[in-house]
Amino acid sequence: MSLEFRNVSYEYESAGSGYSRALDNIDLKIEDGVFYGLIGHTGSGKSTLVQHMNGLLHPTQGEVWCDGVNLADKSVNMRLLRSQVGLVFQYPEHQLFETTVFNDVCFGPRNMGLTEDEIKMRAEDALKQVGISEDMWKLSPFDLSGGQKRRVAIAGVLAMHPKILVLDEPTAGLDPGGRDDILDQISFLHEKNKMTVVLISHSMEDVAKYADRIVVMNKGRIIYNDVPMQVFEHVEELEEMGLSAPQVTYIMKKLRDKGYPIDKSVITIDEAVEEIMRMTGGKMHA
Amino acid sequence: MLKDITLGQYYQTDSILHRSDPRVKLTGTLIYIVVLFVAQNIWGYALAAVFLAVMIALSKVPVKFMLKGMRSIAFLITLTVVFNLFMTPGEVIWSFYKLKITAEGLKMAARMAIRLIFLIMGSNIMTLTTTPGELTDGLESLLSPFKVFHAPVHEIAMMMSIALRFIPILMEETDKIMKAQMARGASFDEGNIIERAKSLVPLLVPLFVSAFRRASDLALAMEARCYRGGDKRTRMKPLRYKVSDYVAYGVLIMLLAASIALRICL
Amino acid sequence: MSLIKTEELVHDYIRRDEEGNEDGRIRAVDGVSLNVNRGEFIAILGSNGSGKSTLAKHLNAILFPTEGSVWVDGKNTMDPDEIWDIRETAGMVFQNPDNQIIAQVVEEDVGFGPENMGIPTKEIWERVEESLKAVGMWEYRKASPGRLSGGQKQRVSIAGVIAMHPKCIILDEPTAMLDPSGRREVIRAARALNDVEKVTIILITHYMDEVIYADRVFVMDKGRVALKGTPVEVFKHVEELKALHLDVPQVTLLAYELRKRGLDIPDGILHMEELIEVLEKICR
Repeated sequence: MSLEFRNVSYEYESAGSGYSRALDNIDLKIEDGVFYGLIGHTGSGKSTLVQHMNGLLHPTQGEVWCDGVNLADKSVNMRLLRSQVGLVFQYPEHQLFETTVFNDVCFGPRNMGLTEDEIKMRAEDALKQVGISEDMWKLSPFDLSGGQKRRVAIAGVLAMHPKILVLDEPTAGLDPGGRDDILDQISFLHEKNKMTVVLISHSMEDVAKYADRIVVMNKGRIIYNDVPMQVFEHVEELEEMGLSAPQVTYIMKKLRDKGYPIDKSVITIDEAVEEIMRMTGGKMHA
Repeated sequence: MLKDITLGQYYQTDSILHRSDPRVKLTGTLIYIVVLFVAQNIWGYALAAVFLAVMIALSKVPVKFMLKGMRSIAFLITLTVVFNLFMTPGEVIWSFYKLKITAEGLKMAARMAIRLIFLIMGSNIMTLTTTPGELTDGLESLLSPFKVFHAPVHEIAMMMSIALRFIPILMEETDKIMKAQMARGASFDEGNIIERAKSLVPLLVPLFVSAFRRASDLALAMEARCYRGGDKRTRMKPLRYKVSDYVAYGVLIMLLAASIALRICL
Repeated sequence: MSLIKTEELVHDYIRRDEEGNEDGRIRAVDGVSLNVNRGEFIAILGSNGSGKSTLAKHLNAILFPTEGSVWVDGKNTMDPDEIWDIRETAGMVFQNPDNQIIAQVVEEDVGFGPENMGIPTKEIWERVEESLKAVGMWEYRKASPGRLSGGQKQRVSIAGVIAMHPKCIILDEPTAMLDPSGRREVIRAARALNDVEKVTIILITHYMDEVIYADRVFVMDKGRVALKGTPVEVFKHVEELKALHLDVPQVTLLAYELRKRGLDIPDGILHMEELIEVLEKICR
């Protein structure tokens, strides 16, 4: 499924003071089967961008094309589009409303007009995928813990079998354990089903660990769109935008600056361990 | 979607009206409304119009901003005009099929439109020049005589001020939940009236849950900051009348007297 | 000198049915004894549901012990006459920045606490000024809270507590809903209060990088204190922390992994500079 932004700008009227530009000439192609990390300071336009992907917002200039169709076209079946581009909002547990966990996950598939059997099957699959065990399915979603609610809400989107899964800070407010559970789960779906993923995150460590490509936004523009190693080369520029690189990148950079033979592109702990072991070579048992 | 409501918002600038005591402004709005209803002839409306024009000038709020706020109630005004125009019995001056316009209807429609526009613009000036905090303080102070009858005046004022603080937050939240459900294929503008009502469930349940959560959070935060009702509380911004406020009261009384005089004498 | 003390603190959340009979009981805090001294910066760590927030709410008499006791500045929180004194002594900043700002203008919100305490008008203004300056929000005093960023809102909330002149500020996951720059702002403000004003700080969080500056750390698990000590002592336990759904800063993790691979690196490294120094020594 191809998704392409062509020259997209989005302006909105802000109270009292004219127009603000949230997106400014965006050109972006979302390739199949790629795990994207989308980073940028608060207010850089990330959330506005992803809401264009499933037609919740429409560009004020430019076009978004999906499989050869312009999304602004009146004939576009929005329900179908939204099932194919699954968007998980920030704090998605705030959208839960049904009497049981299971029914809530059925909401999306039911809106798609599937058969009752198909709906049930998809809901069961989705709940299993996010690790919600069967004994919780009949509970009220409001009786679950924060992390469980979050996973149920994500299952509600997965049950629509999206080809592109977009997540707006899915780990906000979770503890490190809960964060790893959810990201590992998403990464697994990406690997297994070749699902395209767009992950908005404030954690450079997380995007460095999971993403194939990183898109960096600042003031409504895309500044970088590249593989993580290349993006984190630009530490100074990232810092100017209120972002940073993973801590290990800084450590390795400092070592390199001191003249140690460090490969430039180290962004994860595992890479750093290998690199330092290579560097210290024979002195292992000093 | 829901954010572009300028009616009733505070407009930050510095003017005589912004500086004057909220109690004067509340009383003034009340008197102005009375004047509008006392007005029977053109002179009565002229008096109200002059007063309104002077107030708009004094408020230093751009007229454009004020008119933008009126946009959101244009429908209400049109509706009132249409109803009065066609529904008032009397001498027919124009008719088409079953629709009839009468001379009385024309007069009535004009009068209602003027009243409504004047009324809303007038009270709009008050909210444009008074922060919600001042407004509730003023209300609490004006209503304080009722405390003798054990009326929960402080509590009502506090509730009002909290409600005003949370309206924009809940509006934003409504927007977010709507979008989140639309992302799951929900639709809020399809089908007959029953289907539409049903489609609101996925919006209203989360909204209520959130409102209750916020309420309990806020109650906790207020208790943690030693809030225990109105007794023993001091004021950071106590209301104190200035000389100009007494002058304003004088002007308001004269306005009321003039409008009554115009009605009786002309 | 001790400012806050808990003795074998237990707290049960009791669920009741329609008739008000006990229907279920969840033990959130299970026998916690801790002691906080004046001027200390204490961090309480724990995963979601570890009982850390429940514990925190006992420290300024918002929740009351099921068993055991809590003493704040020598006063027992179970004594109804002391509640308001205790809440003036120990102020609290909560997680959600939107749900704790009461007024619609920044300065009025900061004045809310002092108003409730019955402070004279003139002094309220002095306190509002000094508090807003202490968190660097003075220039926003006339702003509407809705226009501020998450980090700024939390700083306003902190100012609202400082204006009550507490001896201790409890920050209950103040950064959980913020972005990285907002988190930095809030932690910087808290550290400055501790350094400059000598206010006792109790920071509840699950972000490990926020606690490296604390004097002492308590790690909670299932309502109990699982680990305690200085940050260096606590961060030695990388595997235990992971088992508790927590992690360690990347430097600490890197140092730990290198040690496992046989490099001669000491325990509990918290800062980049330390690690680089050690690595340089090894290479020399």
